[in-house]
Amino acid sequence: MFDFIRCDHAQCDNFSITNRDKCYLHAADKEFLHQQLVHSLTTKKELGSFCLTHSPFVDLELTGCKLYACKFSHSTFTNVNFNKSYIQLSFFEFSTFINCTFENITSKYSVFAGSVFENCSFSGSDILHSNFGGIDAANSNFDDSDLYFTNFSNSKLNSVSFKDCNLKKTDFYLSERNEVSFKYSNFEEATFIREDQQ
Amino acid sequence: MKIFFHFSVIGFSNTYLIGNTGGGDAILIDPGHMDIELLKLIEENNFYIKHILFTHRHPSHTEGLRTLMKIYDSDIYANTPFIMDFKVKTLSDGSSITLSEIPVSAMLIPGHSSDSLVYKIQDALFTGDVLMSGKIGSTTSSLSRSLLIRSIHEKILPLNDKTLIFPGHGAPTTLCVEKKINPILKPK
Repeated sequence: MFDFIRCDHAQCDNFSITNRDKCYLHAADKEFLHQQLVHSLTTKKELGSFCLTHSPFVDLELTGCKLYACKFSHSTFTNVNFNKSYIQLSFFEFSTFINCTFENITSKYSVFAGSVFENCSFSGSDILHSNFGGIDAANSNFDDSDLYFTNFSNSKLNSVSFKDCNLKKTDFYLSERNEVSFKYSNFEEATFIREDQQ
Repeated sequence: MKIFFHFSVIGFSNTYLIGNTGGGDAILIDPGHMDIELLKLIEENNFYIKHILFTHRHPSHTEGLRTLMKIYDSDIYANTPFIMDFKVKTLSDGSSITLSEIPVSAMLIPGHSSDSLVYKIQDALFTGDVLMSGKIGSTTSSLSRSLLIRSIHEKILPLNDKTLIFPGHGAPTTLCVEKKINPILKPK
């Protein structure tokens, strides 16, 4: 797991960048840090226990990347290719993803909650035990994916496709769905109503 | 510190393995089922289960204990004197202990069960069935439900928003996420 060390800037409670004393917002050498991380991600394709939040990522090719116990919360990802990536126990909450592809990825125990997804594709993926609660997704798809035990509760889904998915224990409680397709999916095994939470 | 997540399809419950980088004595939270994957996770990371913490004594969180105790000589911690005939080191509300050089504090948050403990380890909160992503634990009466909600408001919501939440069932989350999306917790 990334270190739970706070940014030492006054009144900032963000986690600091791994091996640094400040978070990305308060780092003096933002550009260098960003380039260092991008270089590491695109060449080594593997990152563990790393924290760098509130950062923009644009036009990146991260196919086959392995991320374990990382934190990239409150970040912006535009035109980033995560295809065939393996993402475990990592936190991307309150981020924005525009024109990103996550095709054939494996996501386990990861958190994307509260994020915005626009024109993103997760098709053919295993997204297990992951948290998409409260997301605002539009023009995106999760087709042909295994979404076992994944949480979409309180999400806003507009033109989002879940065709031919495994939805066993997938949670859509209080989700707002407009033009959402569950064609060929076992939506009867998903949760849409919780009687014990009324 | 390393945190490993293990899911068991028996009981649909999460078990957490917590230890220091490099292995050694480690903490296991809620071994609801002991299977070969969990054993591999422990052994391949060179851990020895010295401490077992239970959030509460429901079977989906405790059933792996008997097998574990055949393998490891562990101390057991919970808010109950015995689990499966094994003597427990009882923790109560506000207890603070250091296990394998890792400080752990406990909060008693009854409602789902009378013995529900939530463990805080640095900025990680292991909530058992008290608080899960998008929901709170099930209760058997409106009184228990009120007690659970009140305790969550009094003891969990004041914690830092960046706190990571690792529940007994379902996906991980953060306190900030729950404040914004959990219908029970978000402001009316």
